Amino acid sequence: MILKAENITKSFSNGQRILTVLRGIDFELPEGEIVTIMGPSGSGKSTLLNILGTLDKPTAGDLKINDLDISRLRDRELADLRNRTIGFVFQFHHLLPEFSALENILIPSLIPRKNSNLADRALELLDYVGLTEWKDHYPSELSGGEKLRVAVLRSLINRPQIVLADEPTGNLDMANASNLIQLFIGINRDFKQSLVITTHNPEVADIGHRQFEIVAGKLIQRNS
Amino acid sequence: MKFSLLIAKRFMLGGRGSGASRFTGWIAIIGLAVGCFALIVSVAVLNGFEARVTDKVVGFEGDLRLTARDPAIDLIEIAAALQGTGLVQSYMPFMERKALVINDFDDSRMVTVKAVDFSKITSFYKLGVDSISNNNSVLMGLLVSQRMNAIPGDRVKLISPIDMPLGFGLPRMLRLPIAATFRAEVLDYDDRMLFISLPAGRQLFVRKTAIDGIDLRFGDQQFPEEARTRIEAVVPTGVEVRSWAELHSGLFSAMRMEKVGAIMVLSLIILVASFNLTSTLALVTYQKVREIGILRTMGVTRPGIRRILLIQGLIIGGLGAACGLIISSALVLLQQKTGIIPLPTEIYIIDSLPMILYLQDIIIIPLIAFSLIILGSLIAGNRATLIQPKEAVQMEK
Repeated sequence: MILKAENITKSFSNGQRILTVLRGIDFELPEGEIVTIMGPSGSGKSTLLNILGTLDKPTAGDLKINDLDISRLRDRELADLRNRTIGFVFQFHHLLPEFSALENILIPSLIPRKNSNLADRALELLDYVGLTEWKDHYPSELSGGEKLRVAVLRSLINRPQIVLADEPTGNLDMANASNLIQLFIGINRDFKQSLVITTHNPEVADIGHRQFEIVAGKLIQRNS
Repeated sequence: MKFSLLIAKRFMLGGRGSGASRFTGWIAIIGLAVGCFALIVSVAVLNGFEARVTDKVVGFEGDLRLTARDPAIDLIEIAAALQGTGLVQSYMPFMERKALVINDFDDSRMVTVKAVDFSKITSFYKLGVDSISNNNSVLMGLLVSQRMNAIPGDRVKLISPIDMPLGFGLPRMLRLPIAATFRAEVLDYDDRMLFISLPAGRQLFVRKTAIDGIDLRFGDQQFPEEARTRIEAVVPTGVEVRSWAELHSGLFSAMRMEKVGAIMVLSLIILVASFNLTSTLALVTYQKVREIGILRTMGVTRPGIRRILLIQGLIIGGLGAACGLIISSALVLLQQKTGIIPLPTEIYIIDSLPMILYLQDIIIIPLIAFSLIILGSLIAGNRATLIQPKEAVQMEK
């Protein structure tokens, strides 16, 4: 099991009242599986994904990645874990506008002090999504769909065990959303990539080997 | 570091299409350049004036002074021995005392009379006098002569009020011609100093049983402190060795304080400019919140984010400081070579603004500038580390 979350609870306080968004969620992610999580806006999908991605801490509960208790890790160790083990894809591409497509893909590989030259892998990934000729183009010169595909490739460059995608199609038209869904299916099939995708798009949810829905702060499996 | 440098360079002044931070960035660069320029030029001018004063004081007194409380110690013999070993280039025995100078119209003035060896006075002291033909004469400060309405060739009377031959009655009086006037242009020497020959001094200062001291001058090749140490090692007990800096410690410590004060006050310009740099970097951070957030999700640590801002600050601030340092150093060099900034000679004695930069200034001033730049950058960097990636990545374009 790559990722195991037990009894995850997350509450927010505004000083007067406490709002509990996640209520005792148990979640496991095995290798090579796509898990989709549905739910309306404000249901806590992004909060759960942030906790699974170590960007946020649960109010209660345990999170283990590769049997490593996340709550025991310091900031530097968490950053290193994120860099090596987790890839993120967001609703907005968040590509760095000062870097070309190829450079954007390579950024995560440049962060560790002892970094390896993954330029060839980045070019292979670009070729995989048919964007080789756009490698030297800046984000402002790419379409919305192309930007998001580059963002997906960026999340894959360090060969992470987990890719977390937070409503990745939320900002795309139907055609581009469909392309992105095919890309996720492809990288899972070809690279045995584990994915956790939050969405409110049923088409995206359907690609999950296991499909969940957050209802009243609880994670409920939709398929068996 | 390589990664931080890469990001810092690309994010420079907010990256693409960031007009506001570019504008404030340029203001910060100009501010730092002005601050460093002002600091360097001010220190160079203070150094220049200090060097002029030092040169004048040394020229008027010598590099070191030997004195002895015990009149039985023969200072002239000691000085001659030092000269013989090559430790000193030349020496000048002297007697010094307050005396009254009186002109033909009975105008009187209290002055300091220094009796020295007239045969080498013009070579030993820098008085602006070529030679003195009459050893039994007076060399008078220019302002004293003007106040006494006395010109070279006139005779003046000298009286040392405490030197009475019999211990009571009238003091000894000498009537000597003025051989020349000198212009030391330092402190109030021109207004209170008179030179006479040693034999005349012995006649005038009847109560003195020995010379007061000996001024020593080193060769140009010797380091004063090194020479002093060697001299102190060989002179007998009871002989005091003092440098010109010790003889005028008040003046030179005042000049040092003035320099320290100027550095502190003018450093405030750099401090303000570095705060401007902080604002610029804070603006860059604000413009790059999303990018900083995404970098954090990709594994950049908080210190890594701080490092990116620090590098940006060092590049922006370093550019400003370097501009200020280069332009001011060039100005100092130009002034030294050509004297393009003139001074009214009737007020300042010298015809151009003196400017000198020492190696220590060229080290200390950039150190001050870069310390303040690092401080300003770290403040902005620390703010940037507070960005929460989970919030930053939710921000829309």
